[in-house]
Amino acid sequence: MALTINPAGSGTRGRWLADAGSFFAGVLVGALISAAVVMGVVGLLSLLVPGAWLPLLVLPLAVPVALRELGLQVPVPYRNQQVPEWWRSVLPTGAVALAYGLMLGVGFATLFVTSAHLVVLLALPFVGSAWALLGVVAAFAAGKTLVLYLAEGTSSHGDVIARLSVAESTSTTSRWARRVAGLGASALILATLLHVGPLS
Amino acid sequence: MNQAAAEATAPRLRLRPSSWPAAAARNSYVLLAMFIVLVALGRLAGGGLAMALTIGALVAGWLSSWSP
Repeated sequence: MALTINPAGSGTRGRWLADAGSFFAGVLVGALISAAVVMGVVGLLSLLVPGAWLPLLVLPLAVPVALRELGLQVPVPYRNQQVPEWWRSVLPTGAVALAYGLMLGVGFATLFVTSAHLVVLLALPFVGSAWALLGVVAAFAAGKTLVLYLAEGTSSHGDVIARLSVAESTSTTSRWARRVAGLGASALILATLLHVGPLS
Repeated sequence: MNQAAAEATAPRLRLRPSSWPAAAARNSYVLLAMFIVLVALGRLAGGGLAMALTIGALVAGWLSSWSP
């Protein structure tokens, strides 16, 4: 995303920060849409399943997705495609940032990357407070936007590509660092949900 | 040419030290360190589902922004 939203692409540093803000807002709204759908489904399930048992329903969905992260070929409800590249050629940068943010914020419209995303969404209905829910979704949007800082201080797309090629490590240890962080986040949420219980 | 000699002669891309903070925005070890620190801070603060979800959401968002 830093290759699309960067100071050179936006024109000025101020415009770049505004575009990053549009991207953040898009992710926030997209993630709220996904959260609303999941909460609607859990709400319907609560008519059939006793409330105390509802958190347990997260497990049969979350565990297989976590196993996929470890290399098992488990089907996941994610679209196996990236954001449409042609949007960049027909929309101004600010609109592209918002549209990409919306699509990435929904999450399931692009590639599967980490089980933590699905686990967060599945556990979200049990948080019990609208403000806490908004805080969680804002943290997700902030995490998505953080990578744009990669373009800070650059003056051309070439500078961003150079940083990407240095920052992007495909070594085994860095791959495991990503997996441990993603699986650790999933485990933390599941353990808290099942141990402490909902509405904490 | 053996591998060591090839690595020694290959051009290496290096960043100026001023670029390191920006490059950390996409670094696996920085991500893992942040996760560990946040979990430790979360435990000190008393934990809870909202705290676990906030940490998980930050990790999920940051990690998924690196998709290939």
